[in-house]
Amino acid sequence: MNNKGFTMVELIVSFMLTSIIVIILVQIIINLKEIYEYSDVKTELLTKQATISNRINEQLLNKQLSNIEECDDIVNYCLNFMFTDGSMTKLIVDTSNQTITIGNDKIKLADDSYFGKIDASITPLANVAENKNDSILKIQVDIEHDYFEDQNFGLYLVYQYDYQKMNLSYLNFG
Amino acid sequence: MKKINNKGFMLVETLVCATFIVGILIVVYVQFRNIDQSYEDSFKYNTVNNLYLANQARIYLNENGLENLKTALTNNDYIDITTCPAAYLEEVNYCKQLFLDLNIKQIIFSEYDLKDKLQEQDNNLSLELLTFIQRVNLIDEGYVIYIEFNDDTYAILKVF
Repeated sequence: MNNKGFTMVELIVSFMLTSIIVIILVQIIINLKEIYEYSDVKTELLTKQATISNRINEQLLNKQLSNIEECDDIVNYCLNFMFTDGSMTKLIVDTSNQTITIGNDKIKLADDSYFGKIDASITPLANVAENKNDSILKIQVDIEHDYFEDQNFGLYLVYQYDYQKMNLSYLNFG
Repeated sequence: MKKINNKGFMLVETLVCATFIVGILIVVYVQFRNIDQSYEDSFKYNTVNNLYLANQARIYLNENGLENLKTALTNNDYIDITTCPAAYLEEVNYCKQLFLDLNIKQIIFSEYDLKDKLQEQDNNLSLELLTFIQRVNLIDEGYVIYIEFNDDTYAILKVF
């Protein structure tokens, strides 16, 4: 009798065990590939979001806002922030060139990202005690990327103020 | 006379080796998944945008009931202020509108060492928020707010 070779049972068991090992290794490689592909893009998106957010929020924290007006720019979304120390900062969203400008800093969107919803709103609340914040300003500039659905890498700014000190009840961002 | 071929492995030997290798690979894969999950979670914790939003919540608390909250902590590990409880906070309607505009899903006020006091499971806190509290260890004194936002991101901020 020729005893060389493998039995059927040995072959099946070996094949099954090899398959399990290969599947686990392939899954690890797929995950690593995804991390490699997407991490660069996500890091850039988050870095730009942090830059945009820092630029505008630092000014709002360190200075006293006196008024906000729409700019004369009829092409872009534009707001002019005016402070009690006499300084001004413009926020310009240029959807055609894919840039957002805050003061002197112009930031270009990451490749393949695009603007989503752009909006500003003011919510004044009645019956709030004097000398307390009683109005809420909200500015939203969404930045999206197809790789990351349902994630927003844009600016979402909320600012509280006292209506008695800054008489602002309406804003048209557009 | 029958010649016995002793070259090669027995089935038992093969099974034992393969099981050992598969076991190691499963452990490696599980550890890799944990690292991958931590990597994903790192993008959700304390983003710059969220910290500024948390700061707006802090501004509100400083004006409207912070001392009440500090006093209430003598009897509680943390206080859930998501619904703006009138027992602690002032200007409740303003608070509700503010938390809505800040996209806050849940916000709790506590001392900095809440991590050491929390049970593994707390029915009042989501599992993700519990995980965030357990993982983040940035503040070593005073009072803090932990915030879970509607977009599944989280922030912690010290309250003065």
